[in-house]
Amino acid sequence: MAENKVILEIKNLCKVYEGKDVSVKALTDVSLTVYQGETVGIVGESGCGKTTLGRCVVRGIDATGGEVLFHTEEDGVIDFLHTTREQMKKYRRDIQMIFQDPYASLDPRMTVFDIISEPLRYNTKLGKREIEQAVDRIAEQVGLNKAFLRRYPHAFSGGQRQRIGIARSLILQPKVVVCDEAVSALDVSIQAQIINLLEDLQKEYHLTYLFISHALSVVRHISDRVMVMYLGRMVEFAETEELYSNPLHPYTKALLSAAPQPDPDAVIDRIVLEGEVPNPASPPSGCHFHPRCAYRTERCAREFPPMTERDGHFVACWNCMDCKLQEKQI
Amino acid sequence: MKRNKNLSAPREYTMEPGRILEVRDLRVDIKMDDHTLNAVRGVNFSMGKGETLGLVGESGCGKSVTSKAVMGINPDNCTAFGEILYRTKSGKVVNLLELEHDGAEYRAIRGAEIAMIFQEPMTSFSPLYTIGNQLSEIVLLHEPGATKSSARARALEMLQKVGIANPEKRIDQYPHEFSGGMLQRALIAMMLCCDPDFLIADEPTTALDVTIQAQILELMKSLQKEFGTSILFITHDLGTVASMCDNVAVMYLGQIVEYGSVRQIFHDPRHPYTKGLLRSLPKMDQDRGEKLYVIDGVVPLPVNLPPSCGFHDRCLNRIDGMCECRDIETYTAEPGHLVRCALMEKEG
Repeated sequence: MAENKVILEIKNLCKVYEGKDVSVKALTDVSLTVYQGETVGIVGESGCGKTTLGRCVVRGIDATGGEVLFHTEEDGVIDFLHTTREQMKKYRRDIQMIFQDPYASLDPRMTVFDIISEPLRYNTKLGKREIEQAVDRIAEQVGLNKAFLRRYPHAFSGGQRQRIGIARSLILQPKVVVCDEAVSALDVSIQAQIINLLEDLQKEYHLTYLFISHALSVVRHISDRVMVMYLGRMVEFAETEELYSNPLHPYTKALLSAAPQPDPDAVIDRIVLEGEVPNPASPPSGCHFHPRCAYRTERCAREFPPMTERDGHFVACWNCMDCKLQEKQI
Repeated sequence: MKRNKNLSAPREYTMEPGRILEVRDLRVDIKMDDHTLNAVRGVNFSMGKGETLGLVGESGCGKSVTSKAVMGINPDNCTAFGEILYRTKSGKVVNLLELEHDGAEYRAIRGAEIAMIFQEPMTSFSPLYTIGNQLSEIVLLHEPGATKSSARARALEMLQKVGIANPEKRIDQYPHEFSGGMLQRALIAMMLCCDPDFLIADEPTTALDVTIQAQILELMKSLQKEFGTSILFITHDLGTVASMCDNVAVMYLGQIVEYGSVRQIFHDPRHPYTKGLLRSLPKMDQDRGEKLYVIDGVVPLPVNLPPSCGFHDRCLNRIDGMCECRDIETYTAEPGHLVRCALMEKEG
């Protein structure tokens, strides 16, 4: 957080996927304020709604309720969810996405040049020369050899493909980039290259990242603040150091302790959770986490705990609230 | 998989007592349309009974091909050379590469003595049969005298053992009714059905969530304690290796570049590739401002490689006139710690 200028506000975002006979609440009441130039990490297991959140933010899908407020310099605050598709076009270039699978996200029948330049052709009125220059510039920045731009994606390795995806996302000079598992499909040595690249680009263009991932160590490395999600709700949100050193929610604690450490002598008090993530179509009553929680009380099964805050550390847990009250009394 | 053709009379093989598997100079070539990939280029390792060996490396390093060669399930365009010695339950030492891969002898070993679990539990089961059906199948195949009801009883017992709740109901369900973590448990139950001595686990937790991964790893550890199974654990995740394995073999470009105990590898890595891999991981206790260490360049294709160290063009410590022009021997850094690197020779 270099400066405290809000760029994106997410308020009570909800998304329900309606099926034939079931409806899945993929997101319930997610609120988040993002400042310009920071990286917010979003972690959670499969089905927790982290990808849905990213897609709602770029309006790849329409949220069911809530607001996504984008702060622009010229037009003030724009509510993404209540603008028409036509109006939306103007702001699409400001908010872009990097996808997980570098094999599935690039059209195999387009050359790399066409893939990277496509956003420019649709969103700007630049001439051929200018487009070429822009592509050359961004290719160099993400570390792609200009000589290979006329080739097709199949000729590139996974790491290089991810660079192509990054170039495509950044060519419109967006302000916010949603990285949905952007390094998860890559090998360790390539992953480090891409993470460093994302960090360099962030510094250079003053980018804001929403970094969605299930890899806790990667999120810790890249994020300023981290949000933990479970079954469509946010359960904890804090600055990275605070969250990793002082996790409050029992789910966050279990998640952190379960992450394998690359050290055979690491002393880990591993909390192995019972059971699995319940089906989001029929989530448990009250706090969604209570059936797997070691500290559950009768109240947890009844009511969902509200989000409480202390010093910028948000948590939604009945027991944590109690702990805090005790601490305060002392 | 095609085998080494020049077979004369069956040879007698011997292995040090206490060992269950010994791979000697294994080479696997994969014939493609217009070129041949040398996927495995001279791999040597051995495993003791009850030991867990981690085979780590990045995509394309040959770790899966090596494990499939042991199992005898590489596709037909693969040719294997070398020796894979295995001590059967009866105590006989056989060279798996000499066995007809679909012959009776191999089939008696595969599944019953050497079992394998795969990365994606979702695609490892047939969607058309119930879980119980698929578990009993291997008991019926491998145990003489097994009846349908005894096989079913065994399947039920194993489902219980791997911690599947309500196994009486679950046994008659189809794979689509199971979640990913449950299916991986069922797969482990399946391989336990015949009480194998040797288990190959190819990225068994990669497709699973962190909390489920922790459950499955705990399960594998406790079962190993109970049954004394040897496990060849294949993964690219160094975190899991550190918590699961006794010994680690690091592979790069079809060769083992470093081998040692888990502590030797993680606390005292000697090969520049191993060092680079460990340094490039974001760590939970590292300063966040620090840049991640990067190994420059990419893994070359293993086609017509000249005699050289496969890592030389990415290595910061390479010795010109040595690393790129001849094969590198394997040196012993300390007892049990093997390093395939020219720097070791220089240091003496």
